[in-house]
Amino acid sequence: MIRFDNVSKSYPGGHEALRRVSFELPRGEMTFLTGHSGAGKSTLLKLIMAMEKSSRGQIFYDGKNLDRLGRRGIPYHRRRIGVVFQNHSLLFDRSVFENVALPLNIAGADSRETARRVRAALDKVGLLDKETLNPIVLSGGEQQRVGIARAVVHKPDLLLADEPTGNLDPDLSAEIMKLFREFNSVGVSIMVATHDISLVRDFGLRQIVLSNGRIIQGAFPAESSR
Amino acid sequence: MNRRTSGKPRFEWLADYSPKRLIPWGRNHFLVARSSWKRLIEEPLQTALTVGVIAIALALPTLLFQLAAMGGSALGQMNNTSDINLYFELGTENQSIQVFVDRWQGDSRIKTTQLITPEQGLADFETYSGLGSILSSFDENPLPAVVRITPADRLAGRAAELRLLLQALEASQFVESAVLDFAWLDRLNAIVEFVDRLSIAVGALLVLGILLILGNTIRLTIENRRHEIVVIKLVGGTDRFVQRPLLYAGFWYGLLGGAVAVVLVAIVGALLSFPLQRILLSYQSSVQNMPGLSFSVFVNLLVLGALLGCAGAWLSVLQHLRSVEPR
Repeated sequence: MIRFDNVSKSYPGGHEALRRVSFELPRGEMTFLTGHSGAGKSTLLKLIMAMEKSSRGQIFYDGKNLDRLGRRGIPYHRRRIGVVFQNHSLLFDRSVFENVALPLNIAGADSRETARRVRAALDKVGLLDKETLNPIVLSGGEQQRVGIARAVVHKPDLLLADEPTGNLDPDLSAEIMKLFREFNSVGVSIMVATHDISLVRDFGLRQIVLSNGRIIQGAFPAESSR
Repeated sequence: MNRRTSGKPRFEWLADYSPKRLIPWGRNHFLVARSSWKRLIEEPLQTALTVGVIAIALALPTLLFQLAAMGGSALGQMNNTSDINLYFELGTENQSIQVFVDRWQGDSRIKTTQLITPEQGLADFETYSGLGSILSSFDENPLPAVVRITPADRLAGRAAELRLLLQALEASQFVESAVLDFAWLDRLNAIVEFVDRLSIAVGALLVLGILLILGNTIRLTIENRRHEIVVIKLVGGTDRFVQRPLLYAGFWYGLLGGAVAVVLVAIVGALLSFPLQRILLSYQSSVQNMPGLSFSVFVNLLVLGALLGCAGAWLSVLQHLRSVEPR
């Protein structure tokens, strides 16, 4: 699904966030991306989202080189990915329903299909009864679940999560991870970036460990299987 | 056809134009237009300020332009009545004058000629002025023969050609002087032309002003919605999707501005029409197209406002939207 081929990313000023990173993420797999803060986890996710361009090396998504997307291709690339942010990035000028419906509106789904899918997604994260509320009145865990509903509502091939449990207590974190497992069990590829090692350990899933911009463990599936 | 068999087609974004997508596309436009409208109403002060500036910038040149048009048509009427009076030397034989009249009658620049002999002049003077007794104290008729020449219609308002005709007439034998009040006509012509150009210059400046005002308003909107734009781009919103509500905001600002301008033009036109009518009446002019509202002004202001609104928003979007990218 995703293949990094000797990818380096350096920012203006000389900071090298990623150094010659190579790894492969097979379709349907759930993977953790771990490492200390500043190790390059966010940069790696941004490269997959085409928010940044690699300085060297190539990134392939479904066999296609992301460098060749072009400005016009980027939105269509992003529509195939769902993203969950640590700060959940909800819009507080509209209801929970409208927040979750955003990716469908962008893709031009009709209103009946939109309503059906939004309710299905909200049901999945257990917030069906909150659809008319403004997300600002929800708790942190609920807001995060709205963000997850928005990330999966358009049935993406890949779900990326950047520190999805960063602001949550352990119980809520486990709940969120359980949700990810459920999505993964129906075929969605998932990559979760987190520094919360205890969370990862419980699952026994593949782990890609970054340190100072290099992959020090888990570049290929076989390496990390325990 | 050379089609790549594997992978995503290069021009996947073209899929947005397929017919089955047109219905949600049209619905999206409707929803975006409606939500843009709601956002405008939610900030009444900001909206009123922008709309007010646009309205004044549209109404002012419209009124000036209407004044110039009215002046032009009033001038046309006055030119029609501007006859040339030829005063002949005293004692010129009526026969010589008749020969002169016959000769000029055929000139294409002349519409009609009317001979007023000294005797007729005297009779008219006595009839209309009531001062006949003064003239009767003269031994001889002190009035010259006068030929009143009405220039051809096509010469109306063309001061240069009128002047040539006047010079030709004046150069004729027996003609003492030829009189046409050029100074007055020239002055009026110049004033009308000035107002005409002023309306164009002011109009051009204010159009520029409208674009800048709207550009700035939309720029502020982009700043205020930076977070929203970033989120939309992250979940796959195209540039067009992001800029659509902004263009609609510009459209609404412009349309509202045009509507308020319509009201302004109607009010100011009504206020001006009475004194203007009195001025024109004093010059024996009956002009119909007074400044004020007409159907075409109504439509033009709305259309112009809406177009300028879209244009201003578009310029701002071109300049500022690309800088708002997820980081």
